[in-house]
Amino acid sequence: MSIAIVLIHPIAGLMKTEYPANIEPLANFYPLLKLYFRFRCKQSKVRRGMAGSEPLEPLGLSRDLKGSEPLGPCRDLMGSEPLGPSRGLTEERRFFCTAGGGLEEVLVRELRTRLGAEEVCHVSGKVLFRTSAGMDALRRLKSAERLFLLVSRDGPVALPAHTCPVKAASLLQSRLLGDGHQWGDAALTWSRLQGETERRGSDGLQGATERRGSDGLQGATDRRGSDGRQGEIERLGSDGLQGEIERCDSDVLRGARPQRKTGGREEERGRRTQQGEEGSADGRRSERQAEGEEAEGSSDGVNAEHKRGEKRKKGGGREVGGGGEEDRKIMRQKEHLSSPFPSEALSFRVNCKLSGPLSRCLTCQEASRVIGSGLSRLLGWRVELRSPQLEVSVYLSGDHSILGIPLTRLPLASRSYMRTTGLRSTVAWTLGSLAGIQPGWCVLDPMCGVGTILLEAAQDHKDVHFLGVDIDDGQLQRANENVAFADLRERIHLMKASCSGLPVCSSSVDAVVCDLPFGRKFHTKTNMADSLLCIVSEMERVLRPGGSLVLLLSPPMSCQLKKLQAGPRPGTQLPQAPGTQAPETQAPGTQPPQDPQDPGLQAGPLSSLRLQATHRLSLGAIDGLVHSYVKRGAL
Amino acid sequence: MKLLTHNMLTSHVKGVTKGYPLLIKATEVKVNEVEFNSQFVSRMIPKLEWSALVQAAEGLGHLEDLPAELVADYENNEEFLKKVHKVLLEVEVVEGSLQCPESGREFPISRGVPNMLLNEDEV
Repeated sequence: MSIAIVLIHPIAGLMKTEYPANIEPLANFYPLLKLYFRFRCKQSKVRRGMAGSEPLEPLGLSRDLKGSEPLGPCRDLMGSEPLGPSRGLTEERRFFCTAGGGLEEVLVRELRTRLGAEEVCHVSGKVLFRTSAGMDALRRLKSAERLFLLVSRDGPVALPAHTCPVKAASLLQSRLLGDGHQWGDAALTWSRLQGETERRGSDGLQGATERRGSDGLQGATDRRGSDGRQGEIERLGSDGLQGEIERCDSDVLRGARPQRKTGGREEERGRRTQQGEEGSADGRRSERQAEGEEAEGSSDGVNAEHKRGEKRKKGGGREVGGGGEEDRKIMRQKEHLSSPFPSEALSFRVNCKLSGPLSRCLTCQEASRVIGSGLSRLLGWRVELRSPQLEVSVYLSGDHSILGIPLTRLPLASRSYMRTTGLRSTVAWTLGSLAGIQPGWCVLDPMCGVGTILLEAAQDHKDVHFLGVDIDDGQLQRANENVAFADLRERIHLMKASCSGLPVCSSSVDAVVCDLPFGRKFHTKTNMADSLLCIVSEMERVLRPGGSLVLLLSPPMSCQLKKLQAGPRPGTQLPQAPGTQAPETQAPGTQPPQDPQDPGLQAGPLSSLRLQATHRLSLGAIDGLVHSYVKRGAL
Repeated sequence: MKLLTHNMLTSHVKGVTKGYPLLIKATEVKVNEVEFNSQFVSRMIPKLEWSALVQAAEGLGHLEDLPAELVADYENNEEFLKKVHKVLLEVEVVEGSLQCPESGREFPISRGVPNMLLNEDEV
């Protein structure tokens, strides 16, 4: 049995909603009715042309229209000037990022320094923050995995013991979903942020970069295949033609867009706009898209379409699918302009991750379904599992409930400038950032592999000379390709040599950054302690006094290195120098190095390296430890 | 291999005390245009072994009239910085070798990447 509610409006027409009888219908009904009524009021004003003469009453979305968005979408409906690009940038929004284990604090620091983010706090694997920074800046975050718009953050949902599934479902819905306002607002902000990428700039670049950018992303994700979109991404093809990419983009994201009914031209343009949102970290693509779009639009000749194309471009992603009533309003707008009727609601899917006690009574799928159906009923959104316009991510643990909307299709950690990935990009960036690289430095990675660390660091530091050394031709070959792909040939130079005999002068580099191989791939003849000593003391030799050394080590290597170091107390100002060349004996030395020219000779090996900090990071199956040192001596 | 890198390279063959600067024997030299970044160049200059750079550039026939002595106040001398930029970053030895001045050991350069790896008996 179900209850149907039919709303009739003299101008706007019918809206029928059905509810299953076992969910309290009134609780759901009233907010919906309220929203619906307000929305229709606005619509009818617009349609009757009343809105042009008087500012619209801020109704359903009062928070948006009154406060932060005084020229909200209603103004657009009236045909006034769309929002300028600077709009929305001053608005503070709440976000969260996922981060690899151990990288939360790195991300917190990055958020504070780069974005000036406020209210930064972190829970395991997630960092929540508030910022007014735009999508450009957000996309450039380096230590985050994925970026979400925060819809709500709450305490854990506690289910009483032996809860039946129906009760659990209604409890989840009532605890998590709220009254729909926040979702409408969030979807609106979401689409605006998507639009920000789209809207940005009209000084385009050439087509080649565009393809390159997307190639890079695909490459990176292909290899990673982290979020189950493998199939779609692969379909994108590695070197595909423009059209191919477009088609696939639309498969992935555009599938459910309402505009698709209005003909091929429009559809294509829609995809182009959308492309900007998902793709390049630097937005160059979207700039070009905007330009292309304009050109197309004007040669089009179809007036209404042209108008709409322009609207979308300037007005941001509003059409891309604002949520709830916004969405409907937007569709109304289209209806108003040309098409006969609002076609479909915003499509979405829910991606739920459970941990803690909750995961014992519900599976992720069950929880996703419950939340999905709840949202669908609350807002009229349409569940679409394969290629939704919007995704809702729900993280429920024993400590918190976090709900958000992902802002990028690919994780931030998939870099557009990386062709072959070695070390996880976020970890690689962290190593570089811990080295405190300054302009004018020379930075060496004595085991650079495919060059991930150098590439990440070179993105941030323009006036720095990077030197990558590896012993393996294959790795160097790939590193070379990576450097060429990222267009960093002038800053990153490669050579083949052994890390135990670096072909550079002593005290000649300012920083050494290295991901030491974890496996037993060291020289098989020597044990780990010996090879570690050999490698690290070579790094110590080439480093200038005052230079920094950052190493990523496996936990056993970390212990070993601490043992090898004369002073077993990390962080002490003057670690004691061993008197002999064999530091394992830990013979207590008395002389801290005095000679700034060559502190390494007077004391034992590694004694000039002062441990600054260690960080423990999760590298998937295993943990890694980052040691950062400064070589003592005069600058 | 660019001359900026060459300027740092040294040979560590067993018994060699001063394996610097390495002598360039180029069979293929390329000049790629690289965007000029005056900041970068002027920050690199103090780190350079100037005489080694001049010697290497001369050997490759790309001296660009660089003076034997580093000029004073080069930070504001854009013309000079552009010359240094060209020598440091645009001239690239694609094929050839580097020779240790003391032991005579040659290190091959292939596809722009110098191979400085030593045999075990040389370490």
